Amino acid sequence: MTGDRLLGLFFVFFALATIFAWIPLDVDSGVVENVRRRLVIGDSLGPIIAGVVLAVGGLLTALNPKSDSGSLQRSNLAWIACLLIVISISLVLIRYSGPTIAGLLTESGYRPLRDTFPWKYIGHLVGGTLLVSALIGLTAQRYHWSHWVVGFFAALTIALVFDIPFEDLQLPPNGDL
Amino acid sequence: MTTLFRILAAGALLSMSMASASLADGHGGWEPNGPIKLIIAFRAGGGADTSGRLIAEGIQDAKGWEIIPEQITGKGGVNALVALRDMPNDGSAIALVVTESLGYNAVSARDAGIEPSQYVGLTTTAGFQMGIVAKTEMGWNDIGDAINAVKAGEELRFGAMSPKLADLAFLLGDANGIEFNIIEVTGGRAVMDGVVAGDMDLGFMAGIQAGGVASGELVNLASALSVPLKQSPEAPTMADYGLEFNADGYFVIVAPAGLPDDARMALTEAIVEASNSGKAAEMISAAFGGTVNITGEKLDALLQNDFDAAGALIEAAQ
Repeated sequence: MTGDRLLGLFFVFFALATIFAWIPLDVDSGVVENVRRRLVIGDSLGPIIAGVVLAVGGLLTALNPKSDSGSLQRSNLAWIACLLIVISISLVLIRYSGPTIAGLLTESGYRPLRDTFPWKYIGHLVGGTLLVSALIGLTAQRYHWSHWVVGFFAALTIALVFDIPFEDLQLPPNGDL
Repeated sequence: MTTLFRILAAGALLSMSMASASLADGHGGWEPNGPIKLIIAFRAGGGADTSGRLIAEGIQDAKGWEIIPEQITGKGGVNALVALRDMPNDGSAIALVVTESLGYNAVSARDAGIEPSQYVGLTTTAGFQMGIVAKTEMGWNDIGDAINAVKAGEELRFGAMSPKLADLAFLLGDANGIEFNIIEVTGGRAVMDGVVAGDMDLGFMAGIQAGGVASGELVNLASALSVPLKQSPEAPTMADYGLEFNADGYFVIVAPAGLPDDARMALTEAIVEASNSGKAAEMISAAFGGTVNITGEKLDALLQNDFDAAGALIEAAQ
């Protein structure tokens, strides 16, 4: 199967899922609504039209693939899988490393400490360091210890840039706890 | 004699310090065990947001508690209430919304499943001075003149910043045999900007119009409340024009249900104190006509009544 055909089918599936699952679950009003005794356009209409356009585009691409669009290789899937794994693990670390460490070392747990030094940085630094360094390694297709250094300082810089000047801004995951 | 005086003075000081300690300990000495998240359901920079942030600052200064304001806007406060519902009920998360959020807006957003029983009201902070406002240069003295203008064939654009207010504008027209062109926008400032810029002919404003009315640029055509406006007591109410509903409401701070009584008392006391002093009191007075603190069972009843009554307005506008 060519890359174009696969891409087209993917977007047909994505558009159908958007129209029949995502929009009904996420948008309160329908396609048209009866508001103050008259019919008005509902919030679902715009996204549904976008979904239909996406489906038609995907269908046309799937039915008329370019002959030189290449094909999906196992290495392509491996690359996507690696990206997803790295991002997933990093997000888990961002969310849970602070609470886990605080749970082990303190009686109060993480929540009361989420806006105090050094606790508020733990999740962002641990997860952020892994995310940046692993993406560098993945892109470069090699491992080097310097990636961890770059990852750590990149995460630290982002943390400080946002944390120091903005008193009410909380680093992830602290605002969601 | 001097020695006796010193002993008496020392005794008096000791008594005073013990009394202070006792007062401070009146609600079990409740203290938050970390920062308190204050969810603000209003756009950053608006009057409601500013009042919330000034109250937070006042509490921090008076109590030393750390308050972290966070904007969660949308759906007239329902999004903020949904977020608050899932947070711990230990006093570490509270939200500034309006009574309408737990009334009309909660009933309208059925999928959100919001009910007053899921929250504990701490205190209201201010009432609305909700008026129907137009530019003075329109030449209208009260809402009756605007209604007559529509009857004479003019099409008037009526700004409203919530679905409830849009329903009220619709029913006001309906009660007088006319139809306004209702424009829904986000926030009272957007209505005022629209009216001042001439994009709207009249609109609801909840206190933001005070400066414009005082300067003579704007005029309160009617009170949208059940009582006259403080600034324009001569303006009629919507009831005078046949509308049985009104826009009575308050800014209110709530916590998730199950909040311990000592935490509820301590938080309420801190908010009441902060909203009646310093910059917060000045700002609330200028923008909303003064601090209004309704607390305890009276507040619980107010929130439940708003929720129960919302269905009638929604039905009338259908």
